[in-house]
Amino acid sequence: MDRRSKFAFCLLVCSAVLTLTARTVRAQEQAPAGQPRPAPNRSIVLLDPGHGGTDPGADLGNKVAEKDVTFALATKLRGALTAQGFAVVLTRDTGSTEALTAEQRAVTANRSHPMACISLHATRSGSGVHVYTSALPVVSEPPEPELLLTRWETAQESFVAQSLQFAAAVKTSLGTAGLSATTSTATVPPLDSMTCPAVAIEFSPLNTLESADKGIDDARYQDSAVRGMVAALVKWRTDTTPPPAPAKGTP
Amino acid sequence: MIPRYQRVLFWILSIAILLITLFLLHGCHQAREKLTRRRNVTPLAAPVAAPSETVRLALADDATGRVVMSEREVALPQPSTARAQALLTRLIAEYSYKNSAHPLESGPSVDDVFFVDLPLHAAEATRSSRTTDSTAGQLAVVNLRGSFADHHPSGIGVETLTISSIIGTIYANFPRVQAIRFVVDGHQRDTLAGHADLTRTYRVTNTESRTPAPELLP
Repeated sequence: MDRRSKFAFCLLVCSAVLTLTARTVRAQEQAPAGQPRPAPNRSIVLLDPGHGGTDPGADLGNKVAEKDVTFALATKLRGALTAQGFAVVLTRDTGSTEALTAEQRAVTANRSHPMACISLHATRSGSGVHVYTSALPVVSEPPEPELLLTRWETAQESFVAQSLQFAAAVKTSLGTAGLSATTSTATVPPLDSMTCPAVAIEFSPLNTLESADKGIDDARYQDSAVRGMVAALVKWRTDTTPPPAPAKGTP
Repeated sequence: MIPRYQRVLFWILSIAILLITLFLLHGCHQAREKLTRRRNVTPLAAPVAAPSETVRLALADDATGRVVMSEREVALPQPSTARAQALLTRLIAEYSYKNSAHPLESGPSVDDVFFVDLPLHAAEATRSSRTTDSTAGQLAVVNLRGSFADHHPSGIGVETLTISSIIGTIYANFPRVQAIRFVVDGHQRDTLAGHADLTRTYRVTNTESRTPAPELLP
């Protein structure tokens, strides 16, 4: 091979490398910064029974632990929701012996892409039912598609507005089921990291004339609560489902 | 007739009893003097009485789920950290009274309160005007007792009300404090009693007569 041929060969190789590099760079520039957030599944509901395993939660008296009551309530609710055509994801099952962290609960919620997340709690303090949403500020504008990376501690931020609407729906439905409920905000660890309309519902003893100091371990109290929550979720599914697109050719 | 040696023995014993009695009385007198001297060394003078002043306490109510401001006459020390500690101890003590609207167990509650000038890092503060605005003033670090957190009633509402009550009281009495963090026995703890998040920095705002959840700093 003479000198001219060698020079031409080197020139060819260099131009090929430069072309490949330029294409790679252009492809990287055109690629989105993150994958778009998948749309929530309209039939999936996430239930998070509070505490569990080595974490008993609040002592509700009569040797009843919060973790047992929340799990019993979640099991009842799962049955009722399944009958309504929902697919229910629970953050923990009955055999779990270790306490789940708030991060693990939020990971389960975020991987399921549910239409709503409900964290269940019970206490001996106060009275009635309290529906809590995240205390994070409401974000008016959705994040730009290129900026889909969100902080873990404030992942709920872009869902707060929906969570507030969902909380109002839960409050109304619980009222219809005969349980007086209030809505408020709280800084509870799993809520702030969930990327779904999320509420934490805390059941306190009922102190009415008919049912003085009735705790959530009471079967009738649980039935009313399940009825109210199912009604709220059915309404939420109906209200938030986008209307079907009109068929082509229709006037 | 009493023998002579018995009379001598009697008198010797009597003198011995007298001497022992005198010795004991002298010992008692010395012991009393010693105690009196020690008592004199002890600063028995009462501390300078701090004047009573009107403070505002943000008192929580479990029934309404709200925090309401209430005025109290309290004598507080002047140094700000001791003052904050005494004020918060008084606040928590209110909840241990009979018929309290937010019943908590009595006992020591607040170990220390520290004030740190903000911003903590000037370079970070100058990155954006929002950060600068939100971190001007002081950060209060409230060191709660472990026994207080361990015996606090468990529940989202009741724990949030306690946090809001502390924040509201700091807001009403320490205007320079803009943010507040909680530690328990000097260490970070995830929650107060299983629910309310203690890992966040809370913005010090007026928590009276509104939803009880305290605001978070960005």
